[in-house]
Amino acid sequence: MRTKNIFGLLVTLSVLALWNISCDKVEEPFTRKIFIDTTTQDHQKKVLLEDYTGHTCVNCPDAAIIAHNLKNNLGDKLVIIAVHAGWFSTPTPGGDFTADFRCETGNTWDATFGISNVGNPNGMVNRKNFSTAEHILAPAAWSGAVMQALNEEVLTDVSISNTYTAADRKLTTDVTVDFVETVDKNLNLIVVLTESGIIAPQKNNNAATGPTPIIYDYEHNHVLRGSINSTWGTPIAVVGTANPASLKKTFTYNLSAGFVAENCHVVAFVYDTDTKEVLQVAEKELITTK
Amino acid sequence: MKKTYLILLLSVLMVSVSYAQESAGGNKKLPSVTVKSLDGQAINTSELNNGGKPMIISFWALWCKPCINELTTIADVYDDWTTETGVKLVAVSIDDARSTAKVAPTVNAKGWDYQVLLDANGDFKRAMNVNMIPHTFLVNGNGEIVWQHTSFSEGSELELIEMVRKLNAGQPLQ
Amino acid sequence: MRKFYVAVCAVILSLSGMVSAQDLTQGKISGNLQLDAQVYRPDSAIGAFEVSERMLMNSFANIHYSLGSFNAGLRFESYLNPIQGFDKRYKGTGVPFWFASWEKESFAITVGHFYEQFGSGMALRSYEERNLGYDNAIKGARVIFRPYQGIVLKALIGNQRFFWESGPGIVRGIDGDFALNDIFKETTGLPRVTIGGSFVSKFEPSSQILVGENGDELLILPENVAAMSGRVNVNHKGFNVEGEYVYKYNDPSAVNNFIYKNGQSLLVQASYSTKGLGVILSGKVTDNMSFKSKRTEKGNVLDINYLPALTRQHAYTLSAMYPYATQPNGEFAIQSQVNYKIPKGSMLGGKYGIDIAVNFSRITELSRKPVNATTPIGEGGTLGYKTDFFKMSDSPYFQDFNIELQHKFNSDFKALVSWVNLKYNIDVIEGHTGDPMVNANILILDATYKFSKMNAVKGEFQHLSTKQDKGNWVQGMLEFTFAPTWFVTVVDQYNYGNDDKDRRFHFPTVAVGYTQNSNRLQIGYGKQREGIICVGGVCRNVPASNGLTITLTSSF
Repeated sequence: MRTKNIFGLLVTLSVLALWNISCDKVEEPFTRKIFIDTTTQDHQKKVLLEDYTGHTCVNCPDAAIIAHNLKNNLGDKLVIIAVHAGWFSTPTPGGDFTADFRCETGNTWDATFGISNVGNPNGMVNRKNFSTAEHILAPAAWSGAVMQALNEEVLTDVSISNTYTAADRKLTTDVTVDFVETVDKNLNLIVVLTESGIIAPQKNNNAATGPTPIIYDYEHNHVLRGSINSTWGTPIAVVGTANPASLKKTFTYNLSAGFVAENCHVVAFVYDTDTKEVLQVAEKELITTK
Repeated sequence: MKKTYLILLLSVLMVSVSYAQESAGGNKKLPSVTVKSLDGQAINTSELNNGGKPMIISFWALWCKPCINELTTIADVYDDWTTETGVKLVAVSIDDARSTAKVAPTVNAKGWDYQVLLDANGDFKRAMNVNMIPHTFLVNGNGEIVWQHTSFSEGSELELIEMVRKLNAGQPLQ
Repeated sequence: MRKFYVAVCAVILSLSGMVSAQDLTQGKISGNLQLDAQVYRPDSAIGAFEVSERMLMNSFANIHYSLGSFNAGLRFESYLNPIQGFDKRYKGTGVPFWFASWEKESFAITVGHFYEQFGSGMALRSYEERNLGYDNAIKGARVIFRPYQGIVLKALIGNQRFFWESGPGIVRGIDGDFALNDIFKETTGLPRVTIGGSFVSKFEPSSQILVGENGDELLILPENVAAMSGRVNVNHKGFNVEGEYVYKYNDPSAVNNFIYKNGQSLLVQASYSTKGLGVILSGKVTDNMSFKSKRTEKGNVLDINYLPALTRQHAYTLSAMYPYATQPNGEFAIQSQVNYKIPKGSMLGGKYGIDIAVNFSRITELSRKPVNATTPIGEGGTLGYKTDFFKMSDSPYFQDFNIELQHKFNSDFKALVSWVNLKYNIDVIEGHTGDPMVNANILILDATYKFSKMNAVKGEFQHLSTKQDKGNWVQGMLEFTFAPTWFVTVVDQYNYGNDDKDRRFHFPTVAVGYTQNSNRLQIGYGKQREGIICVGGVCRNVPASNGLTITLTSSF
């Protein structure tokens, strides 16, 4: 009987304690403006946002807007790659969606990270948390993850210099990796080509974003067109070996006929091959205009 | 590491018990889970009994066609079964909140005479290790589970009543 | 951590009295296991693409130990790799579910993982549906206290399962259930009344989420979000009336596009039943009731509550081809069902009577109005919209009218006929933006003939006619059963009405199964059509498949 009373008391106390956890009631205004500055410093941490998308994915235009707004607010601190892979990017036999924006590298990344399998739109920020399968982020989670990644320390820095000759559509790109801190990891460098400003139809279900069900003159940006070195990159650091102060790699690449060189960018990023996490990223247009 | 420790603990328990189970000849008893009757009363499953006589516990749901087949087929011969063997059938519905309220009108319209219980969140189902339904158990007068079978086809009820007769006669059930 | 578990086990064992070696041998072990393996062969015509692993497998095994008042158990799961249609994040092997519980008289405690439901589940429900890959088990602790006859108090706290990890939010809940007739004496003859209530709250640390046209408005997020509910159930003779109301405080999340409107849901069901007749009428209004323990999650995971869809769960393939999924952001649903049995022995009823079931359900959008002249409906970072709770809008999501008759002609032959008329808003429910409402009529004929004491043959004919989506379908099935062990099934599903002549595919399947008591092995070979699952704005394609399927289940 006594045990019953003690337990009864414990239960009553915990019930009272829980009742006191008042929920948070937020009053208007529900938001506050933030001022994010786009200025960068020496050895600025830059973040890679990958948006896995497809032209028949009806919710994808809204995700592209979230990425675009982040880029506007962060400038060069954010690099976007839009990977077209999975079922919603497959070209249809006829009709409006015959374009094929997929490439071998994007298909391999999508299969490895399992993003389209979960659904589109979804993405990754610096490919974090792959080992605990928590790497797939819904568009709503992108801004939080990007802000958090921006506060992390810079271990390596990447810079790109491009030379493009239009006559033979040949690109020569010099990628320099500076080791800011001593890094004892297995690191690879991936260099890819993206193209923006591609006008092609895109399915859409939000009238506030554009015409539904199809935006015929949709502008596809940051589309991954292919890898310049290889899908999983070139090794640049090995555990147990000392890092050089700086490392420069040169790659050549032939632009396909359909690509518009003025709209293309080279994106290079350094990542840890064991965790897949991206340490630093950089982006540079093919043709620098004054 | 914590998982390994728990698995080790349970394995030790399992090994020691499985040896004992062979010799003690123990059958699993009905677990103690709270379910509801059709009129809203809370029933503890470990207290289900048929006054020392055998009891059939059958898990079903409104959306499971073979389950409805089984219970309808038995309903046609239930009076004969009860008179002959004294057996009672308890039909446990695992319908969740989508259909819980529809169980009573459906069961009453069909005129079933079973004791019907509602296990809306599947607590009894899990405690009895039920996976696919229909899953039917035969419980002896001491509340011990002595036989079980899954799935139903026309004629399976004849095997079930045969098991009840064997149980009454004290014969082995395998 | 290890010391904690030793302490917990010691406390539980010591509280249950001295556990001697002899006591230990009285413990019982039971469990079940299931293994699903699929071997895939590509068939590009129907859209069954190459599967690089060739074979995919899902499996799980539950092991349960019980000794008097003490219970413990665990579940092994192995997905190497998950079969198609399952979330790929399940890949791997491990023990994602384990628990220990102890119960004595009026007090029960469970530590580890557990499932629980408060009332109808609209405030809190954690459950599992292994074959759909759904599992939102809570990992933490739960206490159930029964201080007096008829009073049940529950308290729980924990994180929810997220594949092989736990979600970021902490869920806390308390629930009280009071069966008035058991509390107060001398209530015989009075109606049976049960009342209950619960309070559920979640804590998730704030994060930076930007909204607004230029993406520069930072949301001020509530870290603690609470929901309260009250319910009543009255039962008297053949009548039953039950209702539950849930109110949720501001919960800006990815599902509702980060609006600060409070959510509410009301479910009312009234039924009358007597021998030979059952009538039920239900109504449900839901407004902004998605409640997850991770605010940026849009998929079919980490739900704290459960919003039941007031529709009939059809048991036949073609009538279940267009299933409704509750729209958590708002819907208005009504459903009514009448079950009647034409009595045995009457002129129409024949020797065994005729079972008649008539069901109608209709679900529409809630009518919404903007908050003020300048804010569009549903804009993130605002109150979202206003709604007259009890007003149906004209825009239907789903409508289902169904008549079913079942009759046993003699001891060897019985048949069922069913007709369904369906209106399905494929734009909203499956995300097929721009596609028109699907109007479908489905006819089912199902007959079973017993040609000997233990052997029977069953034939099924199903036909779906519609002018939208993929057009008409027809399905035929023949099943031979040799009770209680063998069965053989042959099925073909044919999309003969597809507008595109090249896409009029057959989906044939052959299956053989063997059951021995509670063990069952089924092997099937054939083609399965594709489908799209859209949950919370994220669409996933379940591809068509072609190949061999093996399913093994066992219970011990």
